Amino acid sequence: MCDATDLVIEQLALELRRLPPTDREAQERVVEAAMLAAAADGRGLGLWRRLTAPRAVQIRPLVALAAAALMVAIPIVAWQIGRGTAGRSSTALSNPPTLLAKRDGGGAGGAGGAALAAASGNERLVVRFELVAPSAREVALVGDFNGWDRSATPLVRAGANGTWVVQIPLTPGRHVYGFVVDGSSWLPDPRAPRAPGDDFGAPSSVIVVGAPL
Amino acid sequence: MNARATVVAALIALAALIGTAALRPLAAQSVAWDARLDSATAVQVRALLDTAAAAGVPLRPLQDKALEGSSKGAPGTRIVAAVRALGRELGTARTILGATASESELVAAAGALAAGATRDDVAHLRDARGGALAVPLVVLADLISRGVPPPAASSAVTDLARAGAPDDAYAALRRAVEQDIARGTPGAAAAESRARAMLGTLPPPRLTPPAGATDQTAGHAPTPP
Repeated sequence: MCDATDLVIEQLALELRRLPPTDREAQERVVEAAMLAAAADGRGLGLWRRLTAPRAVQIRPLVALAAAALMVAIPIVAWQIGRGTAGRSSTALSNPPTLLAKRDGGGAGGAGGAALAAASGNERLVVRFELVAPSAREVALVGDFNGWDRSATPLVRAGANGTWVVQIPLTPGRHVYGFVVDGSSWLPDPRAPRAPGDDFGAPSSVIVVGAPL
Repeated sequence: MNARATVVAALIALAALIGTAALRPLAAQSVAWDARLDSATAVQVRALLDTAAAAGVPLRPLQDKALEGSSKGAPGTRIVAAVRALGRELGTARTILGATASESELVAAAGALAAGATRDDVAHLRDARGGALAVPLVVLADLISRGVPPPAASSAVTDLARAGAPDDAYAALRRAVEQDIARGTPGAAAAESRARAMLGTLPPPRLTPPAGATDQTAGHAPTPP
């Protein structure tokens, strides 16, 4: 009984599995229409739909970790780059160093009154250095604040009387510095106190940032 | 390269980038150190720094002195000698000023000693001024370096300190003495006359009663009941 039934079912299934005869032209028309629709999506809203349509995304934990690290790293690198370049501009020989304004960390500091006694801790103060050197081609400020690097803090010529100027943020306290004119001549600041001790044959000057010297 | 290797390489590069950025100031200082001194000089300076560190002397001024010498083209032997001398003076300054002195005060005191001031000069100034010694010490060193004899320079600065002079007064004294010397006045006379004139313009010092004082007589020891 069961065997006979199974046989009938198998014959019925065989009949159902047979595809009906197809019209080849109709098939080609369907394929052509599908291709046209796909092309239209690509030219129009296809990209937008791809971007806005909800979809399940698989991501490996390692990739997610790398992305997260990148998001942390970018602000750090940007901050470091900003710190490294802050305060680089230029300086020179007639007026003593002038405190222009308090500068808190890496923030902007504009010219204005100075609150000398308020300088404390790691708060940076913008100090203006000047040197009058009319015949100089280039002037650099060097000191313990820039690792005595001749290329770190060039001065810029300000005006026609040969005054060279630079403004840099310095931490409060004692600093030793000098000027290098045309890459070879070392000059102390003539209006500032002299730095004692061995100056290696090239006198330097002293500034106490946060105090009137 | 497959995807996993790419991700690992990217992570390594990222870690290097973060490390470079985070340690850049420290690295820059370290590189400046080792790169700008010849190897023999660097070895000797490092040994001096080790000694200074053991003595509680700040290292940054010693590193700065070495870099100053390098930047000015001094030979290694002179750089080592300068760092050694500064380390010795910083140690003396630490002994005189105590553990609470700031780095600026220590370096300023070392400068005054290097200029020719005595230990007693620095100690008397410390006692007279109390705190905030950097400016008077810088002025003391500057006066001596401009030709004022150390006793006269020390006396002028210490007298101002006893009178409670603010930093402005030391700066003004320095400028005035510098101008007088430029006009031909002997250094000692310039320092004495300018200090005396300046003392006349200062308000009388405000004395505070010592700790534990119960009466209103400032500066006197408390009397037992």
